[in-house]
Amino acid sequence: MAEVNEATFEELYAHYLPRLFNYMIYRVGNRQLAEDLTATVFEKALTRIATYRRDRGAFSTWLFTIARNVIVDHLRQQARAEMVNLDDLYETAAPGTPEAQYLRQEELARLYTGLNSLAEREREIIALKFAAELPNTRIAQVVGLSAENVGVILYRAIGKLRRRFEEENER
Amino acid sequence: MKENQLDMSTEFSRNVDELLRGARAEDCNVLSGEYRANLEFAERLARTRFRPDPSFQASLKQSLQRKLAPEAGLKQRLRALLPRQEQRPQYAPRAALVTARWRLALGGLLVLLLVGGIVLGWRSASTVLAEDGVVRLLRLRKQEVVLLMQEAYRLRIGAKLPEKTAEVYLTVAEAQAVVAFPIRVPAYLPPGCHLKDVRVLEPSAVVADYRYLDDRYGFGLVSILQFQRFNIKGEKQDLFFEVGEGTREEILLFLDRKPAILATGQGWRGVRWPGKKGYIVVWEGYIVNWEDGDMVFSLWSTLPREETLRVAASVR
Repeated sequence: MAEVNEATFEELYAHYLPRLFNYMIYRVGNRQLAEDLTATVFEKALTRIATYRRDRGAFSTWLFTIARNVIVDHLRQQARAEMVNLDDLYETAAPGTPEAQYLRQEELARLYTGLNSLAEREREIIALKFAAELPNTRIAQVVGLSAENVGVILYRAIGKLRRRFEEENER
Repeated sequence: MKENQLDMSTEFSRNVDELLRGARAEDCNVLSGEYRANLEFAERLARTRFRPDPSFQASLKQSLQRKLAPEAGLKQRLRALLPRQEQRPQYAPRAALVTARWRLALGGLLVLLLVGGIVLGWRSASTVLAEDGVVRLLRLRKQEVVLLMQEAYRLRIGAKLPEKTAEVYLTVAEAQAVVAFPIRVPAYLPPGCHLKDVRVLEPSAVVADYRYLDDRYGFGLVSILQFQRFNIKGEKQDLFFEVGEGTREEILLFLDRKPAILATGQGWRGVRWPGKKGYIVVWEGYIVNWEDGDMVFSLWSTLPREETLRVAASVR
């Protein structure tokens, strides 16, 4: 069983908050909602920390399994279309000119639309890889697939997303 | 066939893990044309970071800490004011010192109350400690705010930029007629520097471009982007300050008492030729980012640092 003291908490919080929030944005596409769900995950993790066992898996796997369950609960309650709020996306731009930075948000909104058009599992795996930055072995534990399967889905999903994004760019 | 696909996806995942650790797609082992395209796209995703607002980070942390140790309320509140040790080691010794001083100061004050001023000699020592502690805490608090602001802007992504036609005006007055807020201009410009044009991106966002040519500074540009935090539809707009890849240095400072970030940066443009993509640096200079009320500003300049700051401070 694990215990959390102040020092451990600080470390976990600093390390996982950005990843968890990033993951939530990938999944729900709305800043406010992502903040609420991130807070829910942290609160659940803190109250259930005594049930975490190191010998059963990495902390990140445990934490993102909670995050995934929080998302599943939320998806049950909300219609997916209502959750997408591209105006709330908050992201950075490539360097270039100040004007280009400003325009960059539009491209990100298109990227997000592409993500939203993927199948649930593909989007989940992309979020766990690029937002949560988990290795395939841990993603496999969270989603209940083999690591090889995760790799294949990831490659296909990225190809699909890229093509959709390019099509969108050409319009 | 299946084995090939498995090998390719395994290699792809390995490459993505490298990208997430900061490698570049061009350094990775490329298996085919489509693989390359997917990898470059993955690189863009790997560089995309959605970050929580600093205020959210701070309030959630506080709330979780209270749950973690409700009995340590005062200690937690004081600690929340201090920079986090693991992120800013340069402040850690100072933070520890301040905490120690607070303990000493509170202890000293308690003793003073109990003794009721009988031992007058104690007064000066404990009061000095308390005042010093408060002053130092306030100073650190100010630093913390600016650091949080910096964190919010320390974001980056590398990607092809979309083209968009802006309406171009030759004078601020002409642009002002189609803009929803009073366009601010620098009261100071170095000799030889003049307005080139004003580009209206949206009624809530403009870029004023200045050029200079003189014996002292040669030829260069000053570009000021300004926009309303909320556009006319009431939608929140964020500026994504360039303090990422092209930046070698960041300095926190105050412009007319407003916190600002001065960064050394590069402006670059994407270039493409058969089978390859790349970037060319078109200028190097300073970037100053700040906010004033509802307005957000980003000034890009090839002028020397002091001149850049002088121009930025004069924007009204």
